[in-house]
Amino acid sequence: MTRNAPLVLVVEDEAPVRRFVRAALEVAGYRVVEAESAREATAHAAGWRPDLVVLDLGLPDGDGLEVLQVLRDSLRIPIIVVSARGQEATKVAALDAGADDYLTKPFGVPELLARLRVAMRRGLGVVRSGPDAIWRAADVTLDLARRVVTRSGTAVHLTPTEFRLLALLAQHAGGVVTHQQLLEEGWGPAALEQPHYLRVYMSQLRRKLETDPARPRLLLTEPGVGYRLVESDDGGLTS
Amino acid sequence: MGWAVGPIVVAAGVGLVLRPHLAPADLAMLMLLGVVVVAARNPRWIGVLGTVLAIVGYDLLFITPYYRFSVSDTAYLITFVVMLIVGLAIGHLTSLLREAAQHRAQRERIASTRLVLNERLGAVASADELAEVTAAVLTEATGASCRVCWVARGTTVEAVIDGLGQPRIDHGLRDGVLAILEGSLPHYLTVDGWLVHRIQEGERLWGVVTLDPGEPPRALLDQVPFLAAVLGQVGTILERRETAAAHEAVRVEVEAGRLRTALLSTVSHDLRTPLTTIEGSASTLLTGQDAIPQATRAALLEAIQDESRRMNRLIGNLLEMVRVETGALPVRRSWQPIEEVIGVALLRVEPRLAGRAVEVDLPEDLPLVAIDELLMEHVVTNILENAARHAPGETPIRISARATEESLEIRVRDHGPGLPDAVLAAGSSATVPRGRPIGPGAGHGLGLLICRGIVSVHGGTLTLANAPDGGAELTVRLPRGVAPDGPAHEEEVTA
Repeated sequence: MTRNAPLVLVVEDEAPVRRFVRAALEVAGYRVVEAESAREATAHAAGWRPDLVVLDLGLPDGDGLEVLQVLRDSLRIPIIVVSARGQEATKVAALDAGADDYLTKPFGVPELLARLRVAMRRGLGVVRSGPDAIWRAADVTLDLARRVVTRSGTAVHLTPTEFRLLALLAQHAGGVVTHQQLLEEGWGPAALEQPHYLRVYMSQLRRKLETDPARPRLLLTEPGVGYRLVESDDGGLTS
Repeated sequence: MGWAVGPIVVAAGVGLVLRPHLAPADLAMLMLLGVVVVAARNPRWIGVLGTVLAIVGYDLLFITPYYRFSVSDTAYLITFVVMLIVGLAIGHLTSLLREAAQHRAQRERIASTRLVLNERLGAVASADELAEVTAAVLTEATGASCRVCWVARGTTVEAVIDGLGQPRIDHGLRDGVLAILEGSLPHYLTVDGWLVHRIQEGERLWGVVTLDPGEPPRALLDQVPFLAAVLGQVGTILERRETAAAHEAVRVEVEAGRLRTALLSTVSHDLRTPLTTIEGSASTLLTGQDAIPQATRAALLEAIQDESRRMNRLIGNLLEMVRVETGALPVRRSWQPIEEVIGVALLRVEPRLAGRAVEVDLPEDLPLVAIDELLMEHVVTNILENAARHAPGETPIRISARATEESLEIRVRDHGPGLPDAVLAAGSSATVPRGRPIGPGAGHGLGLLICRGIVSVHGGTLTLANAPDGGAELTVRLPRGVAPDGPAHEEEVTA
């Protein structure tokens, strides 16, 4: 473990969970600092200056969302929140409050590492999320600068809104984008009252991009939360 | 009364005309005929009066010397006595017959009123309706306007009077009602012409009925025997209803208890099975350490992971069930394509499909449907998992959707052994097959129960069937409703 390895603050009250997360992260080349309470989390965040936070929203001594706010305000680093299934509202609230991604308990290590990888890239500025970036997965390529989408080398025709939605997803490739964020991007704040617009457009996009729209591989649904465009094949977006 | 003894007068008249040609014994028979007719057709005292009249008339008109009493009349003493005895006997017999007929009529009236009560009270549910119907039947049967008020332990006089809704009720009636409530009076009393009667069966006072004498007032006391008999029946009906309700409550309680027991045994069975594997695999790895071959080690670790996921699914099912059953968590419905939910479910069950072919048939023009995506995803996942678990590994599973005028249908079809009869039978109700463990690990019960609950929260139905050529076919029907307008059409611009 090198001094340069990224430092992850794991905020979780259950010791066994911390133990396996630490084990998994250390094997993957991260350094880990643990906090088992909201108080400890804010203290460690200030003292250790971690590069990334994995935050369980269900802490015994405080509201996870409040901790998230404190961390968000004090550190400009990626935060991945963890919560149980059935608490989609909490996840959405956390994502809209600035969390970068979420994990649903129970989660597997591959999932945890994928989230961390995506968040780290963005956090460390590896990802070129600017307008000149290119996203590429399976047989689909998206050139944000030239506004060109191809599938198996053939141009795919998108409407302006379809393109805006896809571009936002591509800028967060590998990470989740909430319904609210997508609706505002596509139709402005007024469209929050028309959530089915987004559903219709995502369905259209899938028909244009997916081999089998009923079993999407690129544009994944995160039930109750939003959508996730899979990571670009070459990691982040590249120029 | 004058008319009542008419036959005797007629007999006397006829006798006068025939007197020259007939013997006194014949004339006595004639008078006796009059007595019989009068006694048979009138109340007993008129019969007696008629008899006396006939004897006197006979003595005056047909026994010499005519038109006056004389000592020689004593010779006819036996005739007089016989006439008297016959008159009295006939009067007694006919009055017995008449009373019997009246009794029969009363019994018939009681029986038919009871029948009507049974029939009409059986059809109503609320206590108010019961009172209304009872009052209506009694009003019809007695001809007096009746009101009924039920009484329970602790019911006050005011409540009863209020319940009877009698605007003309006065203090006397109030005292009467009080007396009835306190049980210090016989079954009825009259106040100012009103009749107040207890509705009682055995020792229990069920209520009070009042009969309005009306205008002009009519006597109601003769209704008392009828009321006593009919109101007993009302009490019996009420008692029967109460017993039935108590039995139903017990039955529901027992059924709920059985469901709880079945759930509990399922849950403990289904949680313990994966836990057994997890603990066994983990302890094998710990104790065996390096002695375990690499392949076995990998298999054990995989088992731990698989079984953990299985437990997670079971817990998910239980949570969703609690969520739907108790309404603890709100159902958030929004308009969306069913395709998306199916896509998520397919992705979720992919590890359990193990490469099995899944045919997906979704027309492009399916309408949006208002659903809670998390719950519906659970339904589709459960159904697909069911198919994956019960159908042989190489057979395909087919999921399709189509729109009808009223609903959106999602159909999942496998080529396994089909659903057991017990599940098909239970499919028509919300209950769970008894006695044996149910649930994702052991069978179809719990998962399908939850699916049914979720679908019905959406106003839809879940139909279980076996296809004619084998395999289970589960159909979810969701109401289409009126979908909102989509976004405005856009031209494609990107090259």
